[in-house]
Amino acid sequence: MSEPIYITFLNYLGGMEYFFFHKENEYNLNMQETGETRTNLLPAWPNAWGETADTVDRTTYRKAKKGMRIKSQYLNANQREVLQYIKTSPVVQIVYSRTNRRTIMIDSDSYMVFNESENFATIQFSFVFTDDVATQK
Amino acid sequence: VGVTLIRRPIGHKLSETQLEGTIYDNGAGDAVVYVAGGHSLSDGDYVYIESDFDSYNGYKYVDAVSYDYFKIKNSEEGDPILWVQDTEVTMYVSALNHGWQGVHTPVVYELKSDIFPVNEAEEEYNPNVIDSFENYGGNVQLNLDHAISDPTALTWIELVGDGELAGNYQIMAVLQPWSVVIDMAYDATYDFTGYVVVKHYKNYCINVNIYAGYESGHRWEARQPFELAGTLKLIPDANGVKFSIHEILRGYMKIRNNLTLDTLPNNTDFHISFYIGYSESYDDSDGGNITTFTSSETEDTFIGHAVNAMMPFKSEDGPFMSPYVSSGEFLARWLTLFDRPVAVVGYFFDLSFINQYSGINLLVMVNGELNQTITNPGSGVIRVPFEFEASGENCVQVYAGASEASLSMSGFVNDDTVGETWSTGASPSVTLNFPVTDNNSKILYGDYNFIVGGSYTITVFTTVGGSGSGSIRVLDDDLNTLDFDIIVLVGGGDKSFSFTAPSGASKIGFSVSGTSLSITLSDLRITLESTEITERICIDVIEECGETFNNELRITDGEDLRRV
Repeated sequence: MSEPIYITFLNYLGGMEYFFFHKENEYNLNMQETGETRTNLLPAWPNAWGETADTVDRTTYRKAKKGMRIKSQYLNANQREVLQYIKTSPVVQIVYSRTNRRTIMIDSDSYMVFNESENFATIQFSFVFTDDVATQK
Repeated sequence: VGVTLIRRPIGHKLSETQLEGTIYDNGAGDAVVYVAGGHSLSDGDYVYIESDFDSYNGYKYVDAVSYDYFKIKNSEEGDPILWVQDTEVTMYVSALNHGWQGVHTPVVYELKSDIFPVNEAEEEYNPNVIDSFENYGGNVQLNLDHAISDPTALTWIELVGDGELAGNYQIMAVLQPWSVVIDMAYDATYDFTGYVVVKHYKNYCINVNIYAGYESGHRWEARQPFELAGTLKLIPDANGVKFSIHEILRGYMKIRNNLTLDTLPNNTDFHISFYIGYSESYDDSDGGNITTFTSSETEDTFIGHAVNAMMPFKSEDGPFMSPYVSSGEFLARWLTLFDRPVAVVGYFFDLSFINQYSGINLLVMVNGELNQTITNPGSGVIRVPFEFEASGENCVQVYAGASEASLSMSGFVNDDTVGETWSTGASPSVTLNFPVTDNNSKILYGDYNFIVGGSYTITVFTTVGGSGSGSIRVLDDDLNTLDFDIIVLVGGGDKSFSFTAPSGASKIGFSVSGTSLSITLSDLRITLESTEITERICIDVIEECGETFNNELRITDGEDLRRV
């Protein structure tokens, strides 16, 4: 699934940079944290261990953030050079409109550069949104 | 105040013209730079020196001595650089001195005291020696060559010398201004030969107040007038004290992308102006109790600008935003790293630049046509918004709009040259009747925020009695005349002077001469022709649903069109 995505980030000069990624973008869910608990079997013993027993361990909550992996279209040398600074930027956002933006956090370790030819390269990186997805807690 | 400001956070933009020179000893131990044929520099200029010796290298303040040689200092108030060896040097003259700096690197000042830790005046210029000493209740009574400064009990003196008695001592009693008892146990074997007595300033410190906000006349001054941002208490050593205020200024930066900020397109989240005031304090005494003396504050006239930026390491410009406030033929470069930024049809997009000038309107031109007018945004980081409706190449450049406005002369003042003094106010006037000193007036001047390279016309409206001549002048911060025009003053009326604002222009001045002349200036109008501010940059605007970069060859790759 490829959905174009328009990203802005604050550069080290104090200006905002914009770039449109339209090659290959995939949403995913990144699990942040899970909580499990073990049922006290004693009150319902021996049924808690018997044929109709439900579970011993169960999940109590799950926290996740939505994320995305982006693979860029072909970039020239200047674009390749500039876009690496997205890793260093404290403000990175997806731009939907002037008043509708969404802050994201770049996974710097995921940032990769592929030299496709002498003059062109592609980059790939992942990010997560800053807020949790709706879950049963 | 015994405190001197010896370094300010001033950035420089170097001209490409190279000067060759030779450094010699001037006979007094100071390094002087000799330039065969003349250097054309004056006090207040800065040069960047490259040589084989550390002491000479880097940005240096020019202290012109003659047409073909000058001394060099680290700053205006600094001491001359001492000669170490004769050498050939290569120099570049600073074409622009400015205060725009990134806030994420140190914003450095340097101050020096002439009374602490070395009391220079008393130790070097008027040394006080000990004529004799005696026992006073078990303590030492010093009988001095002359009265000491501030002879008050509970204050302190210092015995300056190489022996073991050197140190700081508290005055226990003052018998005479030249005879004091100190907290040193008496011993008849003491030898005070060679010691000098000076006043010691106990608990001395330099107090620095940092003020942050927007300057008078700035569009958003009312939202953020200058306020006390912080105070530093610093104890200097023999070299003074060097300190940074960037951590304090950084508190004014809001690291966010607020596109509904009230002050837009001026992104006040990313800019704050600043200056410092300084005073000194130390322990004092009324004879019975120890108090603290604090001097009145000296406010520095240099106003700097911190922006939410950081210049790269090993940049020729150091931490200063020099390439972005002056880039050759343009006054500003866009704050983008892209050679050709990419925008998308129908989506918000913006580019930022540093505007050094308050009180001007900005015309944003796209492909040579007026796209938008920004009315007096004030100085700072300007975010120019765009929302393109069609794909293609869009080349953007910002101009200062043509303008004409009256300038109040209420704040104009006289300089200190010899001549008749102007009466100041909204309509300044002066009368010259023979004989007057040199048959001249003083120079009446006031500040003006010129755009360097801008085409200006100054028109002054006069009422004249008698006859004479006058000069309309363009001055720099040190009141040097950078450009002027002679005007004939007979019968009054309006007199105009057109010029291109030179680098360093910051003031407008008037002077008149004659033997029977009275003149009143009733109005002052300044006309600015449209002037280029930013460099021209071209933006590739593409459609959301496909790649439509202009004039670029594509190859198919699956469903994608690749740029080649």
